[in-house]
Amino acid sequence: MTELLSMTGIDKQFPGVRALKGVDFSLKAGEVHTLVGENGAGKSTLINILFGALHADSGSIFLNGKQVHISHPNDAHKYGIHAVQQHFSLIPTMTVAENLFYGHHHVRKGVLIDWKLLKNEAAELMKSLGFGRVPVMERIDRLSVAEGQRVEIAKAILLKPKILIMDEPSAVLPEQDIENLFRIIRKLKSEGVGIIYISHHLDEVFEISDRISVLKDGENVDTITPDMVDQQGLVKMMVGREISDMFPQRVHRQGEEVLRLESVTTKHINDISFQLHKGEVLGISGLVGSGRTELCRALFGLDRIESGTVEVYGKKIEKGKTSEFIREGMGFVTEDRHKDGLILSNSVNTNITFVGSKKISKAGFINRKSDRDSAERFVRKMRIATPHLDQKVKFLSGGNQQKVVLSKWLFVEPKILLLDEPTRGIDVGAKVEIYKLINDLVQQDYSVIMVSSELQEIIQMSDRILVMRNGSIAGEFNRENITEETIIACASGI
Amino acid sequence: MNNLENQLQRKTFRLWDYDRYIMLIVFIGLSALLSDKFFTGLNISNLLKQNSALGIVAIAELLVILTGGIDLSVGAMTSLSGISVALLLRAGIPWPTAVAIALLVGLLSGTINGLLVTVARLVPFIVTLGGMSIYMGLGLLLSKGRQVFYKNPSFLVIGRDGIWIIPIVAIIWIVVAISINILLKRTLPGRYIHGIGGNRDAVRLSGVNVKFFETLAYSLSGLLCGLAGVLMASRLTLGSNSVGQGWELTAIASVMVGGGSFIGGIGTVGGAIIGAIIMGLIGNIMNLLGVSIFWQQIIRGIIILLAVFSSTRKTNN
Repeated sequence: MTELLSMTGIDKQFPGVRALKGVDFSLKAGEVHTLVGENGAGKSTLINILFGALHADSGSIFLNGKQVHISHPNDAHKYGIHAVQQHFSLIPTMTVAENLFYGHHHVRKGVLIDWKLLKNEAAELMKSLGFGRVPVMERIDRLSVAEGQRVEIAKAILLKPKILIMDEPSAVLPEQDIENLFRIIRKLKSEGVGIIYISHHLDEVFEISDRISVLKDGENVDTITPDMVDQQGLVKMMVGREISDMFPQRVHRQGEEVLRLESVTTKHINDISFQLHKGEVLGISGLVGSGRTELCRALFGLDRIESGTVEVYGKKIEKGKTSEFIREGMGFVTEDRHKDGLILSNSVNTNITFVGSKKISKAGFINRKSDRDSAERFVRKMRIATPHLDQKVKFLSGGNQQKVVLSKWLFVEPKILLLDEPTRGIDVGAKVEIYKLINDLVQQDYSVIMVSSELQEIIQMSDRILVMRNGSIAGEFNRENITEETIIACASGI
Repeated sequence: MNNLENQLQRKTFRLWDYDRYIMLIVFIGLSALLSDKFFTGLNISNLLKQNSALGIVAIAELLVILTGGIDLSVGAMTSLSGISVALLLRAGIPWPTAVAIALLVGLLSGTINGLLVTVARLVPFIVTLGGMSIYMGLGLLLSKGRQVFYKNPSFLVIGRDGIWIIPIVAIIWIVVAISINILLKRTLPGRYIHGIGGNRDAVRLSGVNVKFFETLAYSLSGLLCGLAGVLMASRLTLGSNSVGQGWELTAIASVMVGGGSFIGGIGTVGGAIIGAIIMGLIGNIMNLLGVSIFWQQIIRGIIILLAVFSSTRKTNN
């Protein structure tokens, strides 16, 4: 097989982080080369450099042995490099058919669009890919995420790529579509297309890859073939240590009841009842969209509770406003810190003292000294890497941003913390620090509800685990008798 | 990075951060070079008189822009307040009462804008576009489209007198600037208004009543415009519908030239003031140079674009 692509010595520096350190990567025609690594390992950065969305500080890219400069996604397209992203490239207000043939001339009659031809071709294309059920004349924003992903895949294939980048293509696809996706990949392989595949699902990785490259902290740890390691071995390469080392031990104990939900129902969740105890970590597992985040939102006054009651430390929540939940001692670290966790244009200082701003002020006037002292205390305690307190949080790395979000809640000393995907998108070192912090907190009589998609994280950290499915609780497990398999079975209703 | 003791440095000084001040000094220098009358007490006093009300309106505009919104009705609110105070004075109402009512008119207009944005959930641009038309129309209705003359010697003092070369209107402008600066930098409402523009979801999740504080920004904007209207009515010795016309654009330009951003959450009182002074000086310089009024428009536009371009580059770096 010929070397289709070769990237050598790729370096990339972001403010405060070195994202890639001399990474080499190659791809042959008709090959699936998978990139694995923890969040923040540098996979997306590498792909974005190949795609022209980012520029490498140094290093070279060769296509078919010839050095090329890709400074814009248009260059990438010109060289036949296309990407299946998580439907970022679709125009939400246009139909499936329009999106598929955007910029194609043959679906026009003169200057006008030939709607009939457009519709037929789109339907035909989707059918040939096994995505026949997608309504081609529907607007993208009215489709489900999975349907959008099918369109995204179809669009990339229509462009006849020589190199196809697939970044987590299966993340939002239902089970039956993944076989279909693999069928499409195998067909593309037989046509000589080189495929760069990124996935967190290791069984997929082993099924579809010809070669696997492991990235860790911006370095290419190794490039191997799937027969050289098993899943455990691959995880060890990604993490750089055994899983058991990642999760610090703590004494498990259970105090009095601090939170009680009775048949709580909102638009998104149904008849939820459970209790939380002092010093307990309650894990919430389930598939994406099963109502985990919505449960947290209900517990923070963000979705209206239609029926049922919530009691915090024996006191019934009356109005259900966010400020009431905070007053009763709850804090909520949301899953997307950029969307609703941080004010990115504000400083580290302002973000840390934002929720607890009453503590640093008198009659509405901020005491500057106590403001800065409080922020500085957390910067030191949480080991937040920032040059100064006035640094805007948007310039911090993911792990440090997450520490700022945690700090702003810890500053108000909540009794119960809701953590939604607390370690998403941060590097391993920061993850371990957050696990340690959770352990410290429960030792100090905090109680934690933790939502996570990472099964090991849920299993290792929780005292008890609730599994959600379709907005309801599908099962409750104790830490002693739970495995990844039982959670998956319960979450998918097998 | 590991040494925590050395970790927290002071913010580093970068000349680039002070480009607005440099721009201001350049414009002042240019003015002085072009005319030996520039640094005379009379000219400075006049410049301040001419720009104080507009400067206050620029601060009003800043408050709304910080929340991520826009207020197109600032000029109309100024005009309405000016006509109100003139009508009241003509009716023989004592000036403190007349002023208080005019301020209330401004406050109320701004609050209506705010409630339409937060409670009725209309887009700020549309709300204040409608507001601009309504408040301007109200002013015309009240004044029957004519200038409103009044007689009240003690009220005229505000717009005419001064201490040394500093007019009273400029002192009021400075007091407003300092108060709003303290509000924005040192108080919780200020922090919330900043935060709403930066990330309203994060602010809501912090248990803050976003609707209240967003409305407050519009209310304060109205109140400050009310004040600007009062000052103009005193300086011109009459209430007029032509006062405030086009001010929304100059005010927005001042905020932008001063480093503010339509994204929200970015902008300072100091910036808005410098922006307002620069906008005023540009006119002054071009008048001194005898540049035609048509070219003045074009050059103003170019300067606004340059300033915004520079601040965009700064935020992206």
